[in-house]
Amino acid sequence: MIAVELLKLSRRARTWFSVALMCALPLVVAIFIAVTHLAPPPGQGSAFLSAVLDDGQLYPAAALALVLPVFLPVAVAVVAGDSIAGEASAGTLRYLLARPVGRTRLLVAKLVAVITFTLIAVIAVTVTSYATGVLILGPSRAAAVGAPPGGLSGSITPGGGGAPTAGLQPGAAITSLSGTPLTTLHLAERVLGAMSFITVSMLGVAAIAIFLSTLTDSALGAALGALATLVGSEILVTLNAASTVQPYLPTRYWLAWIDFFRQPIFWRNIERGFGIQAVYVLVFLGAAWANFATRDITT
Amino acid sequence: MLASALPASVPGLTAAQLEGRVLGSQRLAFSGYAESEAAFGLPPLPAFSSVTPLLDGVTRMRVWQAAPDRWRVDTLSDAGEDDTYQAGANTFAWDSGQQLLTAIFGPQAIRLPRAADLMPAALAVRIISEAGPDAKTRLLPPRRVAGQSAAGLEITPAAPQSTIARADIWASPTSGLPLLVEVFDRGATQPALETRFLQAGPWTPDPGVLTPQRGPGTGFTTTTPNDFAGVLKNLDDELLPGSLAGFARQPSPAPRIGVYGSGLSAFAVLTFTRETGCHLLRTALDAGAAPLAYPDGTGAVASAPLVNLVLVHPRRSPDTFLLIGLVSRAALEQAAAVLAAQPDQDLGH
Amino acid sequence: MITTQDLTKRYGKVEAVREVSLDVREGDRYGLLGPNGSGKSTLVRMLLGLVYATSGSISVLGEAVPRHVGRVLPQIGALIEEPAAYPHLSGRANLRLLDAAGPSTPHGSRRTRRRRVDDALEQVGLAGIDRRPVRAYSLGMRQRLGLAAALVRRPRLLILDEPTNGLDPRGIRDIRDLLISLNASGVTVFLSSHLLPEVSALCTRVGVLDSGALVLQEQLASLQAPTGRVLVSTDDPERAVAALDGLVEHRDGADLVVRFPDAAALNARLVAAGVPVRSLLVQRRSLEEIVLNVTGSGSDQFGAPATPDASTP
Repeated sequence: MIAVELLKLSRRARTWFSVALMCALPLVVAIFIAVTHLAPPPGQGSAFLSAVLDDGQLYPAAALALVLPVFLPVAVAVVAGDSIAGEASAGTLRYLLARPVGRTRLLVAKLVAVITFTLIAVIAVTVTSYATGVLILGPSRAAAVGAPPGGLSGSITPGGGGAPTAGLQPGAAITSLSGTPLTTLHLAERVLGAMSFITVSMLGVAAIAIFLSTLTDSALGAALGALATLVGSEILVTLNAASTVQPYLPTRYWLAWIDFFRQPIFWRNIERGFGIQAVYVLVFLGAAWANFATRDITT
Repeated sequence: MLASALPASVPGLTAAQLEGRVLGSQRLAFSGYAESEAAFGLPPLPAFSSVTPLLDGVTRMRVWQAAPDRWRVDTLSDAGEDDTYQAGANTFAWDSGQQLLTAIFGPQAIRLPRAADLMPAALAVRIISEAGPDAKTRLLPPRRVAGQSAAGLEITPAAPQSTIARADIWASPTSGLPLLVEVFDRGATQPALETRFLQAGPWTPDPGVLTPQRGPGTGFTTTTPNDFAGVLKNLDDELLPGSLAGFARQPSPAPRIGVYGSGLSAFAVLTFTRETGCHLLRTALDAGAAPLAYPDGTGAVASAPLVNLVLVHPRRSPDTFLLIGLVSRAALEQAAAVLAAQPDQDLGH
Repeated sequence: MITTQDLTKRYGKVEAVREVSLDVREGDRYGLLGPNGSGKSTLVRMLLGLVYATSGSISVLGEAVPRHVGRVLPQIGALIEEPAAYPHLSGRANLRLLDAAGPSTPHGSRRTRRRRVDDALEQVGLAGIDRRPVRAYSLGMRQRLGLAAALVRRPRLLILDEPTNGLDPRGIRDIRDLLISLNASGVTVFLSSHLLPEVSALCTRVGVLDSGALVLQEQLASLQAPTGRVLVSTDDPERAVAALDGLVEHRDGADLVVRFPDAAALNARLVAAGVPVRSLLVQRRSLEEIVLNVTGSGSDQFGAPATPDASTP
C-alpha cells in the first residue's frame, strides 16, 4: 500500500510543482542578493542569510530557513490534508477500502507518503540551494573579507593564562555559529542533521492535517485547519504570556535545527523537538485512526 | 515539566551552611543550560545596547565552567550567538552577527553587565557576597530545579536604600551549585529577575570547548580593558565629590567612573561629553523617561525594577552625568541634584 | 452468498435501512429494485463494510461482515454508486493502482498483473483505450472502467450499484451480456437498480426496497408466473364472447381478456367455434406492476387484475 501511495504522490503534478516552488524561492533570493550584494544585516532577516555573501556553501542552511516558516508547512498541510479527504471527495476512498485496504494501513501509508514528500522537498531544496550558493554566490572567500575595519586576521597571540589556540585551520570549510571552523564533512553531517530535524518537524503538521482529513471530505478545509493550528501556534510561541503552554506547541522547537550549526551541537531543544513531534504524531494519528476506523464511508 | 512536579527532598542544612556551600561552588566544574527572564523596561540607551536586551525578556545561555577563571557562556538567539570565553585574565567575545572575535587582554576592572553575569551560579555568588555579613538569611522550602532537588535560601540585604528587597536562591544541597535565583524589587511579589538552570550537572567541559577558535571568514580584533565606553569623557577623579547623597565614594576601579555606596546598594556615575550626553538625554526622553528639572540643570529619570537611572545635564558644565545603580530613585535624584549644583570646575577640559 | 438478518441503519432519527433480511444465493443474478433514496446504496455499503449497521447481522460468502470483511472483499468485485478514478491518470494506470492496492497475497508476477488488467479492460470493451487521462473520458467510458475495476480480481461475487448508469443502449446490452456470461461461468451477481427493464431483463431473483424496508424478495420466474388469463385478439369478438360463455372478463373492441389457464386448449376451443383468432397471449404480470403494487400506497393486493396493455413477456 505504501508503494501505491508513493506512486500516486509521484504521479501528481502538484507534488512536483510545490517542490519546484520551494526550490525556486531560495534561487530568487540568491539572485537578488548576488546582484545587489545586499544581504540582510547580521542578526536580522532569515537565519544564515547575512553570512551567505561570504560563503555560498552556507546557502543550504539559509535556504532551509527560508522555506521552513511558510512554504514547507503549507505544502505538507496541503498534501496531508488531501490524504483522506481528497480520496473521499473523489470517490476513490470507497473503492480503496472495498479492495480491501485496511483503514489503519491506509492511514499509515498516507503518513509515510507525506513524510517522503517532505524529505524529497527538503533534499531538493538543499541540493538546489547548494548549487545556487556555490554557482551564484560563490564559494568561501578569503578569511578577512567579512571582517569589519580594524579587524586583524591571523593567529591570536596568547596573552597568558588559558592559551587559546586560534587561527585558520587547514581543511576548515566553514564557520559554525560559535565562530569555530567546521570541515566540509562536519558541515555535511550538520546539514543532514538539520534536514532530518526539519523533516521530523513537519510530522506534527502532517498528523494534524491527516486527522482533520478524516473528519471532513474537504481537502482544502483539512489543510487550512492544520495551517490555522500552525499559525496560532507560531503566534503563541512569540507571546510571553503564553509561556505555560509553549513547551507543548507544535512549532515551539521548529528553529532548533539552527542548533546543529553551533559548536558543540546544542542537543537539548533538538531532542525536545523530536519528542514533541512524536507526541503530536501519536496523539493526532491515534485520533485520526479512532475516528477513521469507526466512521461510515458515505462518499 | 513533569519532573518539576516530583517531590523535592534535601538533607537538613542550616541557612549558614547552605550559604557557605553556595559560595564554595565557585570552584566547581560544571556545564549546563540556563535561562534568565527579566522585565526591566529600561530605555535603550546607545552606550548600553548590549545590556538592555539582557534585562528584557528571556536570555538563553549555555554554560561550561572548568574553573572560576576558565569558562565559556554562549548567549543563544534564533539567528546566532554571542559567546564569552574566560581564559585566565583574558576574555574573548565572539559575535556571530559581526563574525568577529574580540580579545580583551588583561583583567577588566569594570565593565558592562553581560549575559554571563545572569548565569544562576554567578548571580547567586555575587548577591551573597555583595549582601555582606549584615544580610538576613533563612531557609526556604526545597524545590525541584533542573531535575534535581534544590535547597532554598532567602537573603534580605541590610541596606535600606537598596532596590533589592530580597533574593531567593535555590542550590544543590550537595555541591552548592546555585540552580535558581529570583531577585525581588521592593514591594513586588513577582521576581523582577529570574534565572534558572534547566539542565546542569558536574560535567567537566572538554578543553576544546573552552578555547576560542577562528573559522574561515571571521574577523579578529583586540581591545584593551575598559575600552567599552569610548564615549565616556576623560574625567579627572577630583571632579567627582567624595560622597553623594550619603553614599561614600569607592576607590575608583577605573578612570572616568565613580562608584558610590557598597554591596547591593551602590551606584555608578559616568560622565559623557555634551554631544553624547544630549543624544543620550533625547533617547531616554523618547523612550519614556520622565524629565527632571533642577535649578541648575535639566535631566531625565528612568525607573525600572531593581535599577534606577538618572541623566543630569548641569547648566554650567559641558558634561552630562549618568547615574545608574541599585539604589532608590529618590536617593539617585538627590545625588544628581548635587552634581548639577556643583560649581563650574570643568573649564580646564 | 449474502444473507442479512434484520439489518437496520439509522442516521440520527432517520432509518435508512429497516430490518432487511436479504437472501442472495449462489448463482443468482439478484436485482435489488427500489426508487432513489430507498436505501439501496446504504445497504450495498453495509455489505462491503463501508457503513456500519446499527443493528442486525450480515454474512457474505459465509463470513461475518464487517468483522471478517478483509477475508470477504478480495473475492468481491464492487461498483459503489458512480465509478471513481484518479482523473489525471489513464484508465489502465488507474486499474493497475487499484489492483496493486489490494491485499498483498494474490499479486502475482508483473506479467500476470498486467494481463489481469488487460483482460478486465477487454471484458468491458475498453481494450483499445489510449493513454488519455480519465478526466477526458465520457460518462459511459467511466462506467465501463468502473466495471473493469470490479472485474480485475476475477471475483466470485459482483456487487454492482446501478451498473448501467450513463451507458447508451448498446452499452447496456453489452454489459448485460457480459454479466450473464460471467454468471454462467459461476459468478454470483448482485445488482441494485431503479430501472425496472434492466432488472427484468437480467435478473433471476428480485428484491424490492421501499423506504428502507425489503417489501418483496422472490424468484422473478415465480413472480411472473401466468396469471391464468389469456389475451385473445380476434376479428369476430361477438362470436368469441358467445363461444366462451362468461369466461371473458374484459372486452376492449377486438381484444378480449379470457380467464382460461391453458392457451392451447383455449385456441382449440375458439377455432372449433369458428372464431378467427388473430393472436393469443398468455398473460404474465410485469415487474413494473409488481413493484408498483408492493411499493404503492396501501396497495398490497397481489391478485389485482392486470391491465392488458402492460402485458409483455
